[in-house]
Amino acid sequence: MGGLLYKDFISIRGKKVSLILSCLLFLFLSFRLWKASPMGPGPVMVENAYGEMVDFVDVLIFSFPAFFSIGSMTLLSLWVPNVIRNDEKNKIRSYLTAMPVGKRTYVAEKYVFIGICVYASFSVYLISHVIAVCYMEEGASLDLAMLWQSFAIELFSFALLVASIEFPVFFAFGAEKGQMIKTGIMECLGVLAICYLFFGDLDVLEKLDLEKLIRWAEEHDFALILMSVLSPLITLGIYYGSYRISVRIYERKEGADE
Amino acid sequence: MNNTKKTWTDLQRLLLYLAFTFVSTFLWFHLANPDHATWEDMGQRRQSFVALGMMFPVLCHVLTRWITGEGFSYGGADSSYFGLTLKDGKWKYVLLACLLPWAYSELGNLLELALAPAKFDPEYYLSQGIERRLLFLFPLIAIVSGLVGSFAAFGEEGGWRGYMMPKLLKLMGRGKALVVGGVIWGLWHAPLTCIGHNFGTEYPGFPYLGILMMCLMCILMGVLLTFVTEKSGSVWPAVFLHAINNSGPSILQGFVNPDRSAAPPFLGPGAHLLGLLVIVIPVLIIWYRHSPAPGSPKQA
Repeated sequence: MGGLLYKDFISIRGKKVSLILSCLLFLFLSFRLWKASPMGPGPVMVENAYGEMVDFVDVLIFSFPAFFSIGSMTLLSLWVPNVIRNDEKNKIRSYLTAMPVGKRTYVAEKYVFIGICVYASFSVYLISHVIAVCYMEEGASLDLAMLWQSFAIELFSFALLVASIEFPVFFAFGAEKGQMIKTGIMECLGVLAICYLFFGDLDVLEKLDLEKLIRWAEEHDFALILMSVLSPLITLGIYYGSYRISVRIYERKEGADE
Repeated sequence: MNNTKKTWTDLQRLLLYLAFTFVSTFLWFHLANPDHATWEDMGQRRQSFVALGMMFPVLCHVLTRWITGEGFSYGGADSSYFGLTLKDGKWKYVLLACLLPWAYSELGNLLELALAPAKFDPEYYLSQGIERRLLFLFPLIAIVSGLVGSFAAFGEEGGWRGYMMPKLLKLMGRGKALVVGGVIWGLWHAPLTCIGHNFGTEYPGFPYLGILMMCLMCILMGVLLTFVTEKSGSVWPAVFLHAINNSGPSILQGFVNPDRSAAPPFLGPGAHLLGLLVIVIPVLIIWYRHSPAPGSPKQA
């Protein structure tokens, strides 16, 4: 399985991605240390939407882990079809039939690979969060960073959930048709969102109060802890179920091809 | 032109690795905590920042392999032990690694209460701001959060169990390697022990006795961590064990009030020393019975 994992790592340009991420993280860490040192720039105070004076650099620093987690989600959603498409394009599956690699191992490798990617992305996110909040002053930026952190596990669990749906579809219909189905669903969701903007009740968005959300999170810490404990377990259960379905689909499909 | 490549001995590789790890980590501890604030005073956010120093052992492992041209294989002899297989019953060691910290933490607290019953405080957890329903979820929370956020433990174990211990085991045999490895690991923690990590700052003999106790604790922990690494052929069970250990999986610790007794903090819930002692002895016996150390009479 090690060789298959390495093959997929190369197919998503893993070395380049790791190098870019390491450099970004190093630059971010250097900037954080410089900002906190006596040589660094002083606070750049600006007024936020709630009339609170906040350090603008803190806002910028908080946004790094947030953008990183959103970026990871995007990359992860690209990698699932990518690893399947790459195998189809290079005829890897027919090559593998000549190797001592079972169908289950082949499917399991795809799931393990994306699992490792999610774990690695979450770990890098956690490191960037620790760097971001270490010297942050108490206030809105810190509250937002901590709020983001409390939902981070759910966010990365969601990436696994999406992969749990994508894999069986891609194994059943192939990379090209699978991608078309995925694009179709995304476009439907996009149209629904636009319809909501035109005809829906936009008061809900206007009344969205971040401070209220932060207060809610502070008051319901037990529920949040329970959610952060249970969501990875439930997601892993679903992910495993999806693997079993994909194995069945793949075995049936390969059997029919033979 | 002379094209002869330098050949490195295991001892040279180990010394290079240790030099890299100690210099880089100590430098980090200084950079991240320039005012040398105590562990208690720096607050949780800065504690996490300083604790990023845990990443250096694995980074130095990779750096040493790269410099000495040792290769980056994931499994087998002289590998990085970064791979993981659950076949051939190796899943048992992953499960064991997830449950052991809970077992020795509870056992340690139970023994501590048996030795000093005055420490029992039925409402201590409330003074720590912990809800009752949350307290009983501690083992589950520790296991899940330990597994999910195990990157920091990977930072340490990827270096100590993935590089240092295999080299030490090769150089000096199991018994000596476990002691020497534990002492090295304990000394690596010295900058943190000096600012009150694990044992605080108010105990007689601060900080030297703390460093000594840390070495002892690392020897005991090292036995369990090296055992699961050797048996599974991977650092991952050790990573999980270490991460769950750091998450504090004990329910009983919510009832042990350290302020109720004048005893030094070494036997306290943070150290798990008593529980570790009780667990390590049977593990050592099983280990030596089932796979005797190279050169031992049983193996000969």
